[in-house]
Amino acid sequence: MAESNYENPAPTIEGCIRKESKAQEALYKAYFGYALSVALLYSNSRDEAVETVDDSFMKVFSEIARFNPAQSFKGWLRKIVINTAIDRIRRNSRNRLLQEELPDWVPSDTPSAESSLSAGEIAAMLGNLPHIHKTVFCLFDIEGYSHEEISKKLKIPESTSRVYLTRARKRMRELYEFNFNHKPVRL
Amino acid sequence: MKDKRDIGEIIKSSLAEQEEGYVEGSWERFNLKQRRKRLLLIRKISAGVAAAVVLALVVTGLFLTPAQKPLPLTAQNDQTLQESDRVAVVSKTKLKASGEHSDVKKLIAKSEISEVKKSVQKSEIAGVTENIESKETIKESERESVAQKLTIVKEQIDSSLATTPLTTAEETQKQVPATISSRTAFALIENERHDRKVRFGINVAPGMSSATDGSALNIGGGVNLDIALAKNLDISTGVQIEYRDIETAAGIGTGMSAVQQTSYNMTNLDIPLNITWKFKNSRTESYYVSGGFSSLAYLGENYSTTSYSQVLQSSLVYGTSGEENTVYKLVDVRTTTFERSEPFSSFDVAGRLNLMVGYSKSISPKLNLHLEPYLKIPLSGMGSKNMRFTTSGITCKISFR
Repeated sequence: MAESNYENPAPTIEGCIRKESKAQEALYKAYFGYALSVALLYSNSRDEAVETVDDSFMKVFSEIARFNPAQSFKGWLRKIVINTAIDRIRRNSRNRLLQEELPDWVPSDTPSAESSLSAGEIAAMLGNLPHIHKTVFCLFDIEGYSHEEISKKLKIPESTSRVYLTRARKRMRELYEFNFNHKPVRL
Repeated sequence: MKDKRDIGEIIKSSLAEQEEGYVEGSWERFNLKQRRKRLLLIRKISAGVAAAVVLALVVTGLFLTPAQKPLPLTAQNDQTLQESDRVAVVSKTKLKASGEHSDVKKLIAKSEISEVKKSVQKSEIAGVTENIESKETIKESERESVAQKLTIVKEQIDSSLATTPLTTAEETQKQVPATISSRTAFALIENERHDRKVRFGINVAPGMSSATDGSALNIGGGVNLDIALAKNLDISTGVQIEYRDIETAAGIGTGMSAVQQTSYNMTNLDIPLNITWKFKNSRTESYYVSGGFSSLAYLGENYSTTSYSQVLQSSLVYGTSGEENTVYKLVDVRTTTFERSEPFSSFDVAGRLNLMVGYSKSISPKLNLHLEPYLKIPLSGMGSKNMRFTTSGITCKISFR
């Protein structure tokens, strides 16, 4: 059932608009994994990512009447998850956003020699970036946001966004080389 | 790693291929979270409605008291008697239709008994008995059947009343959700514990006292105590000391230039009892409205009244030839009187109405800073001279727990 909803979510969405519990359950179960994989990019831990997913689905169920069926539901959900994650980051900004110290390097379990990375390896690499660097990196390089948009979302100057991106990329390259080419990394 | 975007593209393409799976139990947890959120919303709305009702009652009580005087005691008695008569007449009508004891039993169906049980108290039944006995139109035989019927009604009501608490208890037990999880119960206990929190605080409140014919600055400060009744509803009390020095000037109506200046300084204790409703409440800041009454005790009252008046003064003037002439002239006279009251010579219970809005900001986990613009309206004359002045200003408060 979950798979069929994934392919064609329109009937499920209509059920969600009518506040049908079964339709909500189906939609939640169908898109939970996708939402979690997006949320993990912007979260420090899996628990935090799951919280973000739950908050996102609450928004989805309350605002689903505004969803335009002509658009992709996945795209709409992705935007909601990212915005929810950014809201969470901003809320915790006092404690976390301004911390720029690099965390201790934790290598992934088994570095592979393939060009494609596993989710665990990506999470391990991103986990070695300061949270704000990781957020800027993901928003720019993965989601395709501009620095202007990032600065508005995170309420930081554009120049700061550029600096964070440069540092994040540098760090990611170092980590990637360390993982796949076994080159020494200066920590 | 040819260009800067390489790493981003690798991650993007890797993520596109992979996706997390559904974690069993996530939907159930999400459902529970949704329910809690709804419960929280209901509590917030209930607290808001309760605060609004309390404020509305306070305002209605203040402004509509003279128009809504309670009915005189005799009128109430009459009304009660009429009610009793009505019940008695109903009973009589039913009794007239029935002749025998068995018929009475048939007549009084269970539904009727339950209706009577709801509306008629035991005392009223006694009243009905008296009324029935006093009615001259009831025949002797009917009286007996009436008494029998009432005995039956009493017995049935007594048995119904005796069984009612048991039924209610049973229903209550049934209503307790058997499926309530220990987690939810723990959350509820946690919420309850949170609600019991008490905050102490110190405050300083500069402001302005305004009488009809003068105004001056006043200063106050003291300690306060906020007790949480619900998540968004607090009861606030404390003790505040206030000092004010006011000078007023007014014509006293005895002459064109006759005026009176009154200067008084007053030190009093203000003991407020307010209800505070937080209409926007978050962990770091909250906005609230508060209303209630203050009782006042007076530590010191000094009154100085200066009256200026003109009096016609006569004087004897001797002319050049020695004759006496009386000359009148208008003389300005100033009279000053001083009065002083002993400490605690007067005490006004609920002498002032307090209205305030407030903003609270958390400056550390245990410290909150509050800013509360306030308005204190006198409900009765204040002090031994029954002075009336409205006080307004801003209270700066630091509260801690």
